[in-house]
Amino acid sequence: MKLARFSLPGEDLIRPGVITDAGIIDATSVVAPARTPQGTMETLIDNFETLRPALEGIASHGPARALEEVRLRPPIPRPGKVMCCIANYWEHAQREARPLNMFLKNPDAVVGPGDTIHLPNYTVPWMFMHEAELAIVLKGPAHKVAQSDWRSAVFGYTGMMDITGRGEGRSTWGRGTWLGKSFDTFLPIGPCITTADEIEDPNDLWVQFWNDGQLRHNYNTDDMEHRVPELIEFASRTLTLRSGDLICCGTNHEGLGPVQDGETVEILIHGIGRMALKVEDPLKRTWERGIYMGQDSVNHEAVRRNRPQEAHLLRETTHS
Amino acid sequence: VKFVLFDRGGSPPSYGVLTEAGIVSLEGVLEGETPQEMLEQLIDGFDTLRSRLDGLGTAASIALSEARLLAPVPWPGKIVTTTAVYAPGAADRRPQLLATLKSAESVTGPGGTVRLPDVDASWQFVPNASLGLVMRGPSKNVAAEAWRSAVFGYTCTIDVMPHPVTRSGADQTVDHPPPPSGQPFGRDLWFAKADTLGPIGPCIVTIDELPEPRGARVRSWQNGVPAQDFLIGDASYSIPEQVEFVTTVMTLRSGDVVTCGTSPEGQRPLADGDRVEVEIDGVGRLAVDVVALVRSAA
Repeated sequence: MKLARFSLPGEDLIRPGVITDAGIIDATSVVAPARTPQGTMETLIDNFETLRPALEGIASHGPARALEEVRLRPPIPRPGKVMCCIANYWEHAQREARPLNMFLKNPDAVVGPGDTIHLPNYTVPWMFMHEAELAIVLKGPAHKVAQSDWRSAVFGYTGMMDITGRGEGRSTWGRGTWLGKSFDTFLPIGPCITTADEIEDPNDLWVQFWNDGQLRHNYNTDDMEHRVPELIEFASRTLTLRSGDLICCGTNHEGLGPVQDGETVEILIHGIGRMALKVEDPLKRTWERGIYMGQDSVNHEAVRRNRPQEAHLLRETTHS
Repeated sequence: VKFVLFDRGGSPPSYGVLTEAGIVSLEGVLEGETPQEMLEQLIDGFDTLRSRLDGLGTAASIALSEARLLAPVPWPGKIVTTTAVYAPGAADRRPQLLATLKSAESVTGPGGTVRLPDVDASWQFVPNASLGLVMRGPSKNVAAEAWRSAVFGYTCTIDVMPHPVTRSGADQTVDHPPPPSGQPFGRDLWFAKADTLGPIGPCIVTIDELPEPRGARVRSWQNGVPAQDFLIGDASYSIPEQVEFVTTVMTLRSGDVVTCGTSPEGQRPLADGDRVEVEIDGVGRLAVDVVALVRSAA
């Protein structure tokens, strides 16, 4: 099932909804509002098996609106924690696995479909970049989850852009702190949550990302260095995972590129959905458009150009 | 005003005002389903509530011995730890200020237990005493000179941070002093985010009681032996500059916590059964106990 939050034109009210092939169906009659928007989603996650028959009922019988007629909102409005993998894709290179590591991203930075990413009025980072990622929507409380039991802590999946300020090259600004990833509005998530039962293998999903129509990221999650069961085990060994928390699986950096004023960025995870946002920069900074090809780029063409001695390590890229 | 969160005999947690006579309960004064919601209401409505607080009197106060104090910020939306360092002259040779995030899972309260995570023996943990700011928001792009508008009050915090063992395992020496990179302990490590590694308490002192914190002294003890001892005025970046910096990056909300960095001198690696105490002039003293889980074979 695809669960979303949406508002109608001219309305501030945000409603829960179910997305089907016919459009989006209002689930207000099934999903009781909690005191906070995030609380509503956490309650839905905790009670999903009980609510499922009623949700399936409205999904097949309720009146559907075309997605174009509504405004989708971030499906998780204010996660308690956003745990993000550092690196975590092979990027089609033959080498030893790097140790799994994570950082925390500002959970107040959430924005959603149709919203705007605001680059900060702050000039210390030299560039701002996009990263397109699969995000796991968690079900908790879960602590010390064994890899074999990983599905017990997973409610579903959504798309995520890990917008990042860079210090030098493609290294995150604020070396050693990951602070460059925590500016306000740097956490677009959506367009919906696809529940776990619809995704047999989260390590077989096709992720695409465009900037003003130019394809940048284009990878399959089968290239993940540490796979979803291991991510669940790793994160839950350190922190208690709660319903509505997110684990972002990292990106394949081959398609990294700058985001700048006036652009539209769009992510599509096949089986989850598509989400587009605008970018605004009060300082109107400009960078060369296109995939980042700097000295430390892992884009294959950039590797052949900048570090020919590593070219023999590259493997063929497959996408879908 | 000093606010505490407390319970007694299994009663639900309640905020109270700490006075010479004990705790004056605010039960029924604050609404909210969770203690953190009550705190946010207290922060946002403080100017209005203040006159009611004056009228409460102390007749019905509860003796401290009858109450159990809890973390006064029980479930902060964000905990932002700055890399400010405290040493005489630190402001003259300061690198870029930075900050890292912890989550509410880090919180433990007065008398609480810090559970050191089970990591390999190449890591040890040190307790960093820090001044904690309890924020009022939403606050974004706050100029240094307006920093008080974004701060509700102060508390004591301990950032329990991993640190690499740099000599033989038997020699439990911390690799001091820190590099002059502005990152006292090098890297933002995932297991620094572990449950219970961020004690907070014992109370929140409203900013009007300490409008200029430069003179405040921060001291800590490990098993009763003095450890850290520094002055807020010796910061590489002043508290106003720290507020300006953090709100340049992100919006701070009522009930968020900023921990204002620490001194590189004096803290020692923690072991099972240790007791750590932190005292800040005008704020109070926070004590916690340490439990170390069995270390995995390295």
